[in-house]
Amino acid sequence: MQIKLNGEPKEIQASTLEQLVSSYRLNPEAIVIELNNVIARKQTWATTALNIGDRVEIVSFVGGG
Amino acid sequence: MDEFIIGGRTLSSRFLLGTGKFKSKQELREVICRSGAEVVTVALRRIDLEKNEDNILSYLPENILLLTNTSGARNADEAVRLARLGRAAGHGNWVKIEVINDSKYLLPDNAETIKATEILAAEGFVVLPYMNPDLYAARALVKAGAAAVMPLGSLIGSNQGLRMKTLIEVLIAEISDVPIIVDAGIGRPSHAAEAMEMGAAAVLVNTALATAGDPPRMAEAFAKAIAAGRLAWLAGTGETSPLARASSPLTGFLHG
Repeated sequence: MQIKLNGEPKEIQASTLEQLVSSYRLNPEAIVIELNNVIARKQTWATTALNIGDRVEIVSFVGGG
Repeated sequence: MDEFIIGGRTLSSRFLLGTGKFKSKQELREVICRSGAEVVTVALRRIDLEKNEDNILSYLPENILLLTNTSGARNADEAVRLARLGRAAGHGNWVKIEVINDSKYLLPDNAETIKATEILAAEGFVVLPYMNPDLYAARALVKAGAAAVMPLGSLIGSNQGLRMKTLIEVLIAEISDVPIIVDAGIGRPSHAAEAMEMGAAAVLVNTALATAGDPPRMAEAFAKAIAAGRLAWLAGTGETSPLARASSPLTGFLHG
């Protein structure tokens, strides 16, 4: 299905946030996820289903002033 | 010990560090260790899904306090969104509000910054707003719940020093409820010492270190300058005079 991931249209196989995170081999400790403008807590990733057209933002800390 | 308090937390280092633009994360780690800083700023960005980059957090010393900035925010709502994302990462609730809508001078928007401060302070964040040194805005920030006020010394990343000196002196003189931390534009240890001599509670430095020839060594130079400036403030500097005042006795001369 197609979702918008970090602003870009993406075709994904994952059906939950947890599967999405592991499909990109992301370190869960290093990221924060926002699903349709709402922060998705880590504890909910396994049970949060993805739907067509969802807007997912995955962010992490970088150097900054 | 000459400590100070931000948001209930006692700090002994008056050197806050920005972590942007360093050549490597290893260099950043050396800079932090040599600076003695207890608080460092970090930014939040979309991750690059194509390459698995090293997580900056694994290079930071243990017990360092993270101050998430809201860089990239163009208004209060975007700053609030970034602050909430930062807190959700699980590394505390300190946020440096940075609302910028101008790409040439990167000047902070005080009105939007006040709005964001009010919302985030009410949500329990420890809010350190980056601002244009304006007395009325600073008072509004304190009223909105800011834990410190961070006026710019000069334009971000410019290394120009304390171009806003007079206005920052006004803030230091008039705002007594929260610490005044000079952020942005400090380019040399002497600038940092000057800010501390003026009575600033602390300084936040990034570009001056990242662009130095030897950043870890420069971090030590800044740490010493900040400590020296603070000591001078505590000691109380002497008055300036338009005319010479002899340092040696004006009696007992051998002539005459």
